[in-house]
Amino acid sequence: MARWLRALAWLSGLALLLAVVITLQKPHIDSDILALMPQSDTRIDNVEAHFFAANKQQVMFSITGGSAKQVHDKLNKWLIDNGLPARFNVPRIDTLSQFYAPYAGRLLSEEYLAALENQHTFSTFYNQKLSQLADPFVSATINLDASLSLASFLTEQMQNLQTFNLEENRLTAIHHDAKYYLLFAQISDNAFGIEQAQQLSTSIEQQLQQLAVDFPQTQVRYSGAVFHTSANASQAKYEMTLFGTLSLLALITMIVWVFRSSVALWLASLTVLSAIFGGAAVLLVVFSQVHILTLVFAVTLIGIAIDYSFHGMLDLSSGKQKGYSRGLKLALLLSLLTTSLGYASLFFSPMLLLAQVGVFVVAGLFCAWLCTLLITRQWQHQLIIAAPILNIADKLSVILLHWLQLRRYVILASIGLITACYLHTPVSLNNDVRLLNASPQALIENEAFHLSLLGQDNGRIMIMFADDEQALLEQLTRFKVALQLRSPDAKLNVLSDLLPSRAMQERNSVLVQAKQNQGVFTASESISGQPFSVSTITLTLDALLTSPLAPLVEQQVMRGDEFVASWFMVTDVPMSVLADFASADPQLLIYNKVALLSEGLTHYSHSLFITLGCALLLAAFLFAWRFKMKCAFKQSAVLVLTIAIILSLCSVLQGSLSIFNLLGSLLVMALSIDYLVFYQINQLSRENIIAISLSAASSMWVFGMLAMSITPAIYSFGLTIMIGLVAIFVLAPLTLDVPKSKENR
Amino acid sequence: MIRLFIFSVACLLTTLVYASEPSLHKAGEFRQEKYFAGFAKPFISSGVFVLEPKQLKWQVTKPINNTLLIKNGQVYVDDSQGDAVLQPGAAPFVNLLQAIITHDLGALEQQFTVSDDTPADCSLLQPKDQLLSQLFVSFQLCAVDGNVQQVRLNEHNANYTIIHFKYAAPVNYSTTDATEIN
Repeated sequence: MARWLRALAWLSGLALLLAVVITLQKPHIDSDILALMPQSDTRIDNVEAHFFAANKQQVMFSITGGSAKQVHDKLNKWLIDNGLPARFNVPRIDTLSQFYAPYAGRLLSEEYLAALENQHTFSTFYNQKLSQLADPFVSATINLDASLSLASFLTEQMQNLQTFNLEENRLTAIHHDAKYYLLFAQISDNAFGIEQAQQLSTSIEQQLQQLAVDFPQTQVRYSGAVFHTSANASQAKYEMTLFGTLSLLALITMIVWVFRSSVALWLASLTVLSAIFGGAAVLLVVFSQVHILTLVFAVTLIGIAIDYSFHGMLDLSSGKQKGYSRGLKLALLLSLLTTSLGYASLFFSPMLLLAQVGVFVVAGLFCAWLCTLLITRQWQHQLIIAAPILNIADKLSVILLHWLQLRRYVILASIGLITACYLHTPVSLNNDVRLLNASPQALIENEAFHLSLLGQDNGRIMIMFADDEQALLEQLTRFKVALQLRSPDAKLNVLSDLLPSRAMQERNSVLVQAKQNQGVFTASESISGQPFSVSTITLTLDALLTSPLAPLVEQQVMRGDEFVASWFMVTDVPMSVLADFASADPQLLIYNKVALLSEGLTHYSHSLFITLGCALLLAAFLFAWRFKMKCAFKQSAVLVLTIAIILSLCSVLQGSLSIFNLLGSLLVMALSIDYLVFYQINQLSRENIIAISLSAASSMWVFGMLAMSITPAIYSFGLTIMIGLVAIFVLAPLTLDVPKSKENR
Repeated sequence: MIRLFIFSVACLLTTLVYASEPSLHKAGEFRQEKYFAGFAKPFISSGVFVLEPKQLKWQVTKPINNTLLIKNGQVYVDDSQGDAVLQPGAAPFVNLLQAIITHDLGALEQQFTVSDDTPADCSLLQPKDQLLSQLFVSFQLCAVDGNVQQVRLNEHNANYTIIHFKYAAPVNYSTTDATEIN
């Protein structure tokens, strides 16, 4: 009775701890895939949320085919009814004109500058403007600025900003001779919670399905970060539930088969629950926001934690002593230390996911270890290994003894396998961040299509940094001029188009004044019957941020404590040209999130390689300290062979390796060290053979299932561990010298 | 911007065809008077136009030469070298233009509220569209015997434009003939 109370108190304590942490921390489960990524350049980190956060909240629809207009209107109405207002608003011409009027003469278009050459060119320009059937900017500004500098400036800016056509208040675009109606909607900030993203995504998809039924001739494409979030979250949740359930069923089957006892099942469950509660509590103390993929990877903790239970129960069931044998305690401690050290290296990972997995597993294993040592032992007298299992263990022992005789051949075969794999596909790393993406292909294609519809498929985002606002505007102007000199087809709209620098405005003002003195405006002034005047007021960023264009400008510029930055998109310019400009100017950056993140993954892959090397060295020292040098050499060689088999085979099966293969290798390394330690301490004892076989079988089942995942990252992880566990299961016994099983205990 | 400009052309074409006979071939001269508040006198320009089922040529000849061509659903404007340059963004008005050319009153009434005006033979068109109503308060069309004689475009800020039309004989002109009318 006392042991039940102790066990329940232990479990309740952990559950209570978890409940307290959840109450205090109010953790949030995140499903934004990019939130997992390593942090990039500090300056970029500072500005990207400001510049691009709004894009994450945007959803876009393109509608084409018969009845496209009707479908557009119905969908638009549905979006408004469901609290998803259109994002696009056309600034009113009259308010725009009123805003810019006080600065007339200081803001000049290229067309106007060219017209200022002499009286003839200006008269031609002036007459042409007035002869047009209708020009809304001439009409709206001529009463404010008869020189038409304002009309020309606004015309040029609006032409540059105009991405789409407007047809009866509907946005349209022509792409490959087909007309598309476009809708942009803004979703709320909190739609990135998993439930909200899924609900929103589902309701939009249902509405689109209904429209597809009602208007079969119309095609609607949709894109937006929220759809990716929803798709990834659904997949992760599905896999987590499926893998978790199957793992649990498999483990229950194995335990019942080996022990034929419900007590064993209870003890194994207690260990796993302890690991989960303890791991989760510490994880939530450290991270208030946990990514859903962390939970997927964390399922693996079940596989490791239960090993402690297996070893403990099998040692107790031998009945040779009261409580655990000295060898078992030592082996468990060594196992905990090595596995924890391996996972602890993930704490320093720049990838949040890995750091979270590391914290969860280390804390979970510690709880599992404590549970095994303190609680499991109380049930020693009820733990008996089933007779058929003992027979199997005896047979396995004989097989392993024979296996030892073939050691050289096995090692040669392993080396042959590694060589053949390497010759077939040399090991290479692919750190493309898109490996993390489990979004459906259709969604990825929609995204690409919409980029092309927006004319951004060959565009590059660039960011200019400067010490202050005026320096930024000057730099932007210089860059635009230099780029268009080198690539005349270049298209870019920069902040300094809408807001020339103070120096530029003063130069314009002086120029207009000089031209007036030269009589360039004389003929035109006689038409208007009034002299042209030049403003002396300078347009500033603060003023522009109160203009009708403020929503656009706010998103385009950021003023920090130490710098000012502005982003812009450049199209129709070869990447090499932009790279030249960026490398020549430290204030200019090409912003490519995918490349930045992939670069981050590359750095991390290298550090994982180093971690693997360190883990190997650490294990070698441990082996050398605890066992003999010769034995340590053999154990280290087996570890190297195992890792080499993993990397070469995965390389053949996947085409290239990813960071997740390295991560999996680290886990295999931790498990391998466990097996090697247990073999060395407990030799080929029946209990040890059963424990290691059970551990390997359960781990293969749990981790191997991850290889069924659709998410490339999880697939790679699972495949790596599956191959690694098979390899170490085969190779680990070969480190034994002689089949001694009891002397060392 | 270009869209708005094209819209103006389309509106003018509306006036041309709205009151016209089914024949889609029209040509003639126009005189445009622009009255700007604050200007001592109106700005006057003139030129010729040729309207065919699939294209319109609108050519200002005084005080400067300037041509606008709407053809195959696209809009071309002469640049400083005199080359016709395609104006992107005009496609939205192609439907409207087609409605105008084919005298599709149903389509026109989707964008304008049409009512009778004084003097007789004149109609008042008020844009329903939010963007169009930013540009114009209304149009006044005056037609005699199916031919539009005068259009008045009323803007918000007391500016207005009056266009007078003078038609040539209803023959099948080719576009290239347009310049010869003058």
